[in-house]
Amino acid sequence: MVRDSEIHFTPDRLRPWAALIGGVLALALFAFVVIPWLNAHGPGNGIISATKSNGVDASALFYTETPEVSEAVNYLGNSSKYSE
Amino acid sequence: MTSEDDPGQSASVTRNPAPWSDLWRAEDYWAIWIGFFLIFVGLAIFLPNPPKQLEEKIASANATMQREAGIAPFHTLTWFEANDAKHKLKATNEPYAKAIKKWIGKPHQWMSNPLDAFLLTENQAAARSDVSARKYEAIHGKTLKLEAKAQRAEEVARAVRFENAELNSATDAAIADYRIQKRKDVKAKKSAKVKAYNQIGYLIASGVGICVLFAIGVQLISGNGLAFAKGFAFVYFLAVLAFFIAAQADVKASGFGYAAWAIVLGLLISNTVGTPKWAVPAVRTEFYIKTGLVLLGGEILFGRILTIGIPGIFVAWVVTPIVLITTYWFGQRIVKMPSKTLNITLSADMSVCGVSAAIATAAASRAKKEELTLAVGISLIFTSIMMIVMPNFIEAVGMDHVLGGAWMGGTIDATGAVAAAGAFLGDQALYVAATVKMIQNILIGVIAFGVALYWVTKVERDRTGAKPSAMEIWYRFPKFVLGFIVASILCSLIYETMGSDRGAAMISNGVISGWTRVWRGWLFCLAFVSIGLATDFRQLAKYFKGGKPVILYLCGQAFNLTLTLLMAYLMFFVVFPEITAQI
Repeated sequence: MVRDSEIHFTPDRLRPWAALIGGVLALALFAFVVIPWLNAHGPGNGIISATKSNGVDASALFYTETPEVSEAVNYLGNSSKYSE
Repeated sequence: MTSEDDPGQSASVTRNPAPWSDLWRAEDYWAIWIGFFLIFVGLAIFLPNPPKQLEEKIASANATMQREAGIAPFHTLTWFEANDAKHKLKATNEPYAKAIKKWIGKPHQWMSNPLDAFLLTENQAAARSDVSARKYEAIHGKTLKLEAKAQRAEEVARAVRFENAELNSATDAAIADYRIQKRKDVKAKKSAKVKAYNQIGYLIASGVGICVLFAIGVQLISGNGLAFAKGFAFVYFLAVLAFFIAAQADVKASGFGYAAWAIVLGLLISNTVGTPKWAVPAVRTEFYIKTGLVLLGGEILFGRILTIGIPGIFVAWVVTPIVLITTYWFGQRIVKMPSKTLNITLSADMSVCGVSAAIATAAASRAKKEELTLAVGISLIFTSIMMIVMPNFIEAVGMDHVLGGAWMGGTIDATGAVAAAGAFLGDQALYVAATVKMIQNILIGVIAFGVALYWVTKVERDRTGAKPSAMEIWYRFPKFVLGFIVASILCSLIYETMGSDRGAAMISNGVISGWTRVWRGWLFCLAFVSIGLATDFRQLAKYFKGGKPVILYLCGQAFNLTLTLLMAYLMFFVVFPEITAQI
């Protein structure tokens, strides 16, 4: 068993932790600062704001995660069955 | 994916004559058992509990639409009301389904306060409701005006029995404007109903549930169940964190989902302080992916491929395999990709449906986890770009929205991004884009099966030189793919037996939306966290040498864009214009 008093925080031991903290900060900066800024000021701001106001989850991977697909299937099914 | 990639991995696929004990000792079979256990539990919960008077309400809505279709050459407001009433018939709207959603749900969407992902007090909920209610009132006022305008136009057209083409056209346009506004209205109304929640306890409960299921499997596979359970808390915590980042409103709208954050979080830990040794037994990428894929199989309802008729089949089921095979061939012969498994994973990712196709193909071809990571990363970046560029281009050139929708549905990788791009253009583009994408999604069952078979019979034969016998093919074939296919056939049969209206309410908007897809999301997220935790970042560079994966993606996507546009134009405007007229 290594006792707490025997653990030495040498620069070599600290480096990985510093890298982890730096990485987490960079990740947070990208996700919560850069992306929102790009959404507001980038070339795609029109689409992003429409996506938000329409309540679309643009990050959905599969069709079952997107309620709009169910709406589309319902509409197109009804359109093909009940149109003049 | 290859078993040597997984630190906590035992032999997953039997190479020699399979003993019966494989049924309870091999990972592939355990993925099938856990997947089917969850599917059957979902069926047992939802099927006996349909919404009240489901049949009567469906019949009434259908009768109304039938009657309206007989008198007007376009969809009247009454027709749309019946259409919407039918769409609201969902098992997921029942109280028991809402309770389930709470128990197995992920962190909530949040804007600026990260705590909102897990906790919202009564006071906070009331304050947010007030703000949202004011926004809703403004939106609803506009909706009422557009509705009144559409009603007036329809009354005038109805007065002359819908025989005046000019009046009909004006009414159709007024109704279309009202429908676009109605979508915003529905969303705003939903946002105005904010309820307090505390998701922390439920997240722990979900984690315990998944842990118990997989610990039993791991115990019987390798006798390591307890060590798995200890490490699982760490992997699950990172999965929750990935969902938390993905739930931020701006992150969500930009198209970067949990897959990216899960990989990045895992990579950050494994490449800095290292994955803790005690967590390694729970880093079971293959086990999570295979089980998730069996559940995904249940979401593939084959009957839906005809939703938009033959044009949809041609755009999604003819173009896609051509693009997939051509891109794979191009990757091998021209780009000279360093790995066949990376080539097929990237080709399927680009041509079929992004991350979900990459997962299925990587698992079927036993690609390395670095290859899947690379394919997912490239797909997410280009999906975000195409989601913004394509609708803007379609608007700029004045392309017809049916054509534009089919084009986007057939080429943008992820369904969410397709829906976002389609919704930006309007309902018509959204419906066509989302449906074409759905038909393409359904193709991944066939693609996964085809790739698994091709790999076993051709690629692995080339490696050993001997032509495998039928029994050898069976031994080598990844068994979880069979679970994936059987789950799809089972759910498709139940759906078809019920009929499309009842099936939509009970299967797609019940068992799938309210149960299996949620578990599948958790499992894929755990798999991506595991990939990150087991990946040496420097190894990724090896696969990226010369930028070949990006070159392959760009060339394949250019071909995809051209062929899909050509096919969509031919099908929707030359061969079947009558189908386009109905949309």
